[in-house]
Amino acid sequence: MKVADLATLPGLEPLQPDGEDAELTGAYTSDLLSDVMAHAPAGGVLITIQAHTNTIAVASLVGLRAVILCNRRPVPDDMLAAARREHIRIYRTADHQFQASILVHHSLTA
Amino acid sequence: MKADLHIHSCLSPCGGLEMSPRAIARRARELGLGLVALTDHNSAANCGAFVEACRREGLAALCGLEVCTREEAHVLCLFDRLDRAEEFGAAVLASLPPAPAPGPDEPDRAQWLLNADDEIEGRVEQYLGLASAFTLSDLLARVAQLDGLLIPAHVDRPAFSVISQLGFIPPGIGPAVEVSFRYNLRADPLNLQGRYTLLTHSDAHEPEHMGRAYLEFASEVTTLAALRKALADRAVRAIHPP
Repeated sequence: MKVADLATLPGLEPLQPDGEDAELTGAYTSDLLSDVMAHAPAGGVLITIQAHTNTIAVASLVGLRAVILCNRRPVPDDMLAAARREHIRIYRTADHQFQASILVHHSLTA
Repeated sequence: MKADLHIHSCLSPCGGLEMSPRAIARRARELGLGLVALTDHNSAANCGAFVEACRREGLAALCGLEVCTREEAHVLCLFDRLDRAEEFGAAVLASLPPAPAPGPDEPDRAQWLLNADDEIEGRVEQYLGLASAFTLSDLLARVAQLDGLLIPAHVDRPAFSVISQLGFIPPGIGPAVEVSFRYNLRADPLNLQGRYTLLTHSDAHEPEHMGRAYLEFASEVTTLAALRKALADRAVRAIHPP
C-alpha cells in the first residue's frame, strides 16, 4: 500500500495531500507524543487526536509519512503549513482512533 | 504593579532571535511591567542573561522554565534563585529523549543561548520540544524541595495542559493556575475562579505577543515569597486587554 492510497479509504478527508508517495511501512495509534517518538515506525502513518504542530515535529523526527486525525478534530493552519514543509500528509476522519486503526490495518494487510 | 510570568526566549524551539533576553526586558519595561519571568521549554539556560538584562532595565525577574511533564502537560516552574533554576533545568534537559534540534541554518527554530548584550554564546543541541521524564507529581516534589513555585500552564488549552492530558486538575496543585490569553475570564467556562487563583500571561514567543495578557497585583511583588503570598491572598487580577 502506498501512502497516497490512504486517500481512497472511506471517510478520510485529505487536508494536506503533498508528500513523497512511498510504500507505507506500517501504522501506529497513540495520543502521547513521547510514545509516538519511541515506538512509531519510520515510513508509517500515525493515527491520533493530537491536532497541533508538535505532532508534525515528532512525526518528522520519527520519519512518519502521514497523520490521520480522528474525531474530526479542528486542525490549525500552522499544523498544515508545518506538514507541507515536512512533506507529511494529513488526513482527517470522523472515526475514532480504534475505528481508523482497523480501517488502516485492513488496507495494510489486504 | 503589572507582571508577566510566562515568556519564551530564542532558546525555545519556537522563538526566534528577536526574542533575546535583552529585547524581552526592554519590551517589558515599555509595557510597564514590574515583574517578569523567563520560562523557556524544558530549559533555564537563558535565565542568567535574562536576570542581568532585567537588572539593567530596573525590572524584578524570576528564573523559570516551562516543563513538559511525562503526561505531556505544560507546567511553569518558577524560582528566585538562578542556581536552583539552572540546576533543575539541567535535570529536566538530561531527562529528555535524545533528538537533535534544528541547526543554525534554521535561525527561527534553532535554540539560541544569548548573553545580556545580545551576543550569541551557543545553542542547545538537544531538541527541547519534547516531554521530560518527570511526572506531574515528581515535579511537585522537586520544585517544592527547591523552594520554587509550580503553576500549571494554559489549563484551558486543548493540548499540553493538565486538563487536556488528565481530564482534571489533580490535588496538590494550587493555589494558582494559568489560563491562556484566549480564555474568557468573565464567563470562566471551566469554573476555575471558585477553586483557584486565576492567572494569565502572554506566553509570548514573538515580541508582538507581549502584553496580550498580564497580571495586576494590588501591591509591590518583586520576590517569589511576595508572589506566593499574593497568590494565596488572591491579591491579583488576571487581565486580557481589549
